[in-house]
Amino acid sequence: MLSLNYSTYDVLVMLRKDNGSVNPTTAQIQQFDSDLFDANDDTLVQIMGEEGIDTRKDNKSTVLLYSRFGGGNLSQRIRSACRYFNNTTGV
Amino acid sequence: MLRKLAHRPMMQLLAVGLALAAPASINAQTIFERLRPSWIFERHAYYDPLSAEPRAAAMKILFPARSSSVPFAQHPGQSTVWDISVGDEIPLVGWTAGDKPEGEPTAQKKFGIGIWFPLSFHMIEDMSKDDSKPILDTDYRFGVMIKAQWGLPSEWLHTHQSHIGLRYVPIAHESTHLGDEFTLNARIYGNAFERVNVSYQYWELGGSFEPNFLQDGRLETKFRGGMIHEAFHSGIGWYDAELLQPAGGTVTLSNRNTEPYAGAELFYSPDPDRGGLGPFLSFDYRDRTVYGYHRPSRATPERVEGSINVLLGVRHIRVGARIRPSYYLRYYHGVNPAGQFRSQENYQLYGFGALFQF
Repeated sequence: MLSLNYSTYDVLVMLRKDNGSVNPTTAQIQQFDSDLFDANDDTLVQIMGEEGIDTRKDNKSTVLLYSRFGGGNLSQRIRSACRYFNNTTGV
Repeated sequence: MLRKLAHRPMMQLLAVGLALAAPASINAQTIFERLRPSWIFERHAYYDPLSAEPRAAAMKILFPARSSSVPFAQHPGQSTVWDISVGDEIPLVGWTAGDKPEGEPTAQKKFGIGIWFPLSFHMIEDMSKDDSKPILDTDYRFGVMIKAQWGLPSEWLHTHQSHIGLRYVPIAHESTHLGDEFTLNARIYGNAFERVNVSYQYWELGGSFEPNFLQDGRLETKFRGGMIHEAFHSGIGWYDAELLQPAGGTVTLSNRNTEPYAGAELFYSPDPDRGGLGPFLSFDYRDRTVYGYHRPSRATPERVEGSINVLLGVRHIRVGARIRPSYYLRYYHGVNPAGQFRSQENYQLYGFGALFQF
């Protein structure tokens, strides 16, 4: 079982989109997860807090996945992803 | 000397890139892994050209527009023109560390470097004044471009996802051509009509600082500065001494073969949830050489004129859409940027334009 910063399936979806490989190694998955954390986590935690979302691992993973779609810079995409998250929770 | 000047920045760029990409103790296999490209044929937002950059490899239409009359035009006075640029900076290959989704700049505290192939055509046509609506001039450019970018810490000095960057063009070519109908119309000037072969290679080096302000960095700014230098042309300069027409005629070669420039762009992004129109202002200033074809000698310096290109308009952001159109009013004043007309000072061009970013 991999120990990752974000939920495994969310990481795998993002890796599939960015890398395209059908046979990623464990090291590649861990490295990708680490890269996601370095690039996004501080902004993710800050904006999720401002939008009133608990910064649990599963929430962060879902918002991060949503933020890979949509326009604008990283902060704008995360802000938009938070709103999408809030508006679709419980659907 | 020019060759040394041209290649020194490139070698420094590559050295910095490799040094940042590789730690001290690594084996051969690790080196091979490190040298493997991070992306191939993907768009990455390293040092995208400013909207106001006059000869950028981009898709722009200026129509309708009004232009000063050019030398050897059939009739005097302003004319209605359209000014088209068709081109793209085609991304070839790049190396970067960290998260690298396509279309995005480098991640915070990460370095990226890549190679692009810029290719563009620029055409201006007189649509109102002279017979048969002549194309005045067509220029084309192509070359090799290296762009590098560093992502500043996410919240650096109260900005958001800011970047610094370098753009280095080790070698590129520009070729310019008067329109055939324009040339035929110019027969009324007899042997006074001169057709100059403005065609040269050049290198270019520029730097960029791109901080984003306000909440979520919705106020996106870019500040640029750099220079273009004629190169690899056997010391000839921007154009040949021998005229294309009349046969056997000559002109004085250029002396000032470098042009510094600076620019800035501000864009206030619309709400990313809904998209919409966001205002932008883009500005380019170039210290242009006024080509002096009939100076007493090559040592005689040419005149220089500061040339401005200003775009003010809106950019249309649509959620999930690939194409970003911009609509603007453009005003250009200075040295005519088109081919052999670069001998013309106080040239003016203004009109309504559109830019399509992919």
